[in-house]
Amino acid sequence: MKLKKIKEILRAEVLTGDDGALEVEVTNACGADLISDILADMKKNAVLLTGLTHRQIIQTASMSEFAAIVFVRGKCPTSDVIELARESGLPLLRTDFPLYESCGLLYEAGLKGDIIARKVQERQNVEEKIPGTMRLVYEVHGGDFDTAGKATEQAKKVLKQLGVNPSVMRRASIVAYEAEMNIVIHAYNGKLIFDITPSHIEITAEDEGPGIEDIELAMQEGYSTAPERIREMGFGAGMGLPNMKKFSDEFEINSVVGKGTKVKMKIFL
Amino acid sequence: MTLEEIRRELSLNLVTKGTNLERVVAGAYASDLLSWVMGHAAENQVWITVQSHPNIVAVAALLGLAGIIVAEGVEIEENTVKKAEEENIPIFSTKRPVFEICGILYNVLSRSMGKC
Repeated sequence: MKLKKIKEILRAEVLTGDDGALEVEVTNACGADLISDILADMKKNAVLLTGLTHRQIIQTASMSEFAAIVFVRGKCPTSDVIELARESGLPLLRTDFPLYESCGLLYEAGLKGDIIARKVQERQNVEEKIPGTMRLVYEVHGGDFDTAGKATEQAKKVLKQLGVNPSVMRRASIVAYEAEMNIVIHAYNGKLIFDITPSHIEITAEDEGPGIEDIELAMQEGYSTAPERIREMGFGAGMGLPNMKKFSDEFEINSVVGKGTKVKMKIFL
Repeated sequence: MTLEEIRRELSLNLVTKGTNLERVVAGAYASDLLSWVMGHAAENQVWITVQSHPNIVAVAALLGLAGIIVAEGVEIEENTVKKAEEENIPIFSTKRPVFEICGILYNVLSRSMGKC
């Protein structure tokens, strides 16, 4: 659904965003008034419906990569907030409808959000006979140091939201970050997957890359094959795999030279 | 001891805007190897390093570190500052070498924690 259509349905006023911005395709929506809920939202191409109008909401929405914000209940941010959104290229709309009705109208008009995706996921989980699990999947790109660590940061926000014990969260963050950095440093492409169940968190890092020739050697503290320019950044200390093993309860590594590496780590709750 | 008190004691330059300086610091950690820091630094510590790329913010955010001191006059990348502001992690810069910062901070923190 185009943003233009959302504007029509909600009889909204455009506070910032040109005609081009209104052509943006939106496939999802999130209705929330808590920053932490908004941050934990991982939907793509989503519009944010909220009653919050302060500066942080613009920063939060840009960070969580929302396509646009719709202020509900006739709320209107101050001009400096609108300016900030304009600078960030984030379209802002405003409707008189309350949150409940705004969500309802968009849902009815066919913007059904994640429900279908979630149902598929739930079904997959049932098929794998692990009820009550949640799966988070992040793409990680080799060589991309600018966004390196982002997948782990987002997953940590979800774990925090779920109320996971701080020590478990910390260990999960450490092993996931190391695994993510290994993909960035050594591989071409990969995935970081978090399976959260009532009893444990399982983190799987799978990549397409050169693979590891001698796993036993790679597991030794201080051994690294990272190139010099990466070591200069403080990576490649040869502590990545040892850290992953040290901070997880179960650790499993498989690698095929010329193909890639898969690391599975389990932390019990 | 808060970050603001540390900033004053060590005459550090604050490079981030709008970050929380009232946070109470529970000690410090010094290393330039990110995985080493990942494995050894603890929550609420302040981190002393000469690394200045955006990944230091990711490490600090994931570990819940109180702040970062970039020593030896190393210039801090703009992206790092931006990211630190988003994550609410104060970054300080100083011309002083790591050795001096550690030495001074060790004394200041020990005194404040009543260990001296």
